[in-house]
Amino acid sequence: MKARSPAGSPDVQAMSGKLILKGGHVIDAAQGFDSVADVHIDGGKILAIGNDLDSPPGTEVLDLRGKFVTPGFIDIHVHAYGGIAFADPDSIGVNLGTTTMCDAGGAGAYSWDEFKSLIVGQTKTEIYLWLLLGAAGIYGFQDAWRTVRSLIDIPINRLLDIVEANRDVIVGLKTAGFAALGLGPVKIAKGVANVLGLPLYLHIGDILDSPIETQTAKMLDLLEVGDYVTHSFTPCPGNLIGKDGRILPEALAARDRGVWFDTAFGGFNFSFDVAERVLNEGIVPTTISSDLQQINITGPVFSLTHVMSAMMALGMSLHDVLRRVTINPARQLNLADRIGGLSPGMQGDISVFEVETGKFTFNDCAGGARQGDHLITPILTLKYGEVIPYNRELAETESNWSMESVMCYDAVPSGAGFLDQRQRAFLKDLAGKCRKTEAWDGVTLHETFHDVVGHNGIELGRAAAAVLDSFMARRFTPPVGFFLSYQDRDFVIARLEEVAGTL
Amino acid sequence: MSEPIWIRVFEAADSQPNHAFAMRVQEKDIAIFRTGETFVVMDRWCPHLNGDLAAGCLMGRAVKCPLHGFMFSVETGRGLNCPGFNVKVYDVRVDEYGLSILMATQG
Repeated sequence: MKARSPAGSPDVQAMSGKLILKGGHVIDAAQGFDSVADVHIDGGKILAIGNDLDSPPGTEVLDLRGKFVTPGFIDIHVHAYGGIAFADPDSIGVNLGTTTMCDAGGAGAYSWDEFKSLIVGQTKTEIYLWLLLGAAGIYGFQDAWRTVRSLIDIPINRLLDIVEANRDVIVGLKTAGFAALGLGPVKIAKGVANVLGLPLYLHIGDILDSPIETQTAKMLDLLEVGDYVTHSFTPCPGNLIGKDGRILPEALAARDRGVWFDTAFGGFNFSFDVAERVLNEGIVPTTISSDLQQINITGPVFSLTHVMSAMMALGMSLHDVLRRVTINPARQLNLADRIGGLSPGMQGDISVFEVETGKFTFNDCAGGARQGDHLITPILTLKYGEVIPYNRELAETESNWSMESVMCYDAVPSGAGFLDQRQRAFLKDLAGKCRKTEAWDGVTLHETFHDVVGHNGIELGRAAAAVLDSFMARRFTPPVGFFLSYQDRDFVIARLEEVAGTL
Repeated sequence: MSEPIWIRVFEAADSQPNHAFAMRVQEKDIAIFRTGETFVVMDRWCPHLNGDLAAGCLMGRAVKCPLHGFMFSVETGRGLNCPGFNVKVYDVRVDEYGLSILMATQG
């Protein structure tokens, strides 16, 4: 398979920063490198790795003695876009030690273009997408059923066009294996993934219902080499543990076929009890991911490094853990020519961290907890050689994870004052179309929004920003039509007209 | 014209500060939180998987479900970190007779 080019990368050529990371403990599983060394970065790329590297004139030197220096962390399961994501995607990326991440289903075929206009190339963190088969993407938990049921609306031709034109960003197709819907949706997803030539990223764990009969064993049988199972340690019905308390034989068979297993801690999907059974019976996830989203950023997940530390509490070594957030995901995502290692010529993507020792408590999503002896704490991140300090506050501040907290019901948010005349004219057109729209549901309003964008000729990202900035003090990225459908119709029309009228 | 129906549930002085508990009032399960002299009353069951909000905790402006951390505004009942999930927050008043809850209106 052809290696992917950087998703929304900045102009690397324009970067000329020269930097030497001095004296850190460098661990690069890709090269089997594990030693105190210097790392020389030039023009956004790794130039050299070795001992006592010379510092040419104009080179900045960072003293990292006592710190670990590794390839930038790759988190293959986060929510950077959509209804359960954050106002600032970088707050869970480069600001928390992660240089590359995959949004897990925030966008589907309907919302792909909004994702592309609001996310791709807009962040310092490199962001890829598991495109959701449910056409709207993930808007909210109560819509998980709707998005699966929207399978009837799957625009296959559109999916083909989207994927063919955007393989640099779309790394696979995601679907949820909810047992109550039977095997059909997963079979369809697997078939579509085959047509598209993409791996299937399968969510297991019934997070909304408790089915009488789970379907996970049969779903696992559908997976082929290169497909993924995410939420390997979920305590929800439909997990990897059978009625007999043992690991599902189908899970072991899938592992032996070359199916990948991923952690994706999430809000409901990580139990230490389940993890110990799954690990003891031979399923060791090949990637460690966080599934960071609005409900878990203030605990129990906090960050990818917190999940990595929790995996150390389960018995993994630091090297085991690092492999699963660097070279393993890089290879699986077909990005290993650029990220996941520190060979000369690779991107200057680096995580610098400390490992604190002591007694640390890690909570899971099922009321369980374990004590661990290590806590991985980021110090700083480099993305294309740019130094970005660690900052937890950006992620944990309420206005970053609560869309409701930034909703302005009583008055127009001040940010709307920055909308230009073209955007306000668009809002006027949208308000007019909304007045004529009888139905007030997500699909109808999605189509209404896009129809008006098309007629108006405004660039989609600017149109989406105009709408979102008319309602929120900070811009989250829900799919616009679905966002409007959750608001009162009269409120929406009045607000759009109010902002439009202040030309 | 509709008339509010205030249901007196107890002597406010009888409840423990910084304590949450559940009650069934007019066939509705509610969770009551007291912080100092302030009361918050909302639906008892989380709309996600029926987590018991009375067993959750009051965190600033929000009540957090003990099951999965879904948070609901004490002012509006809207999900703070779970768009689309809402609970009902009831108006309350405290007077010399105790805590009363506005359960419904009639007329």
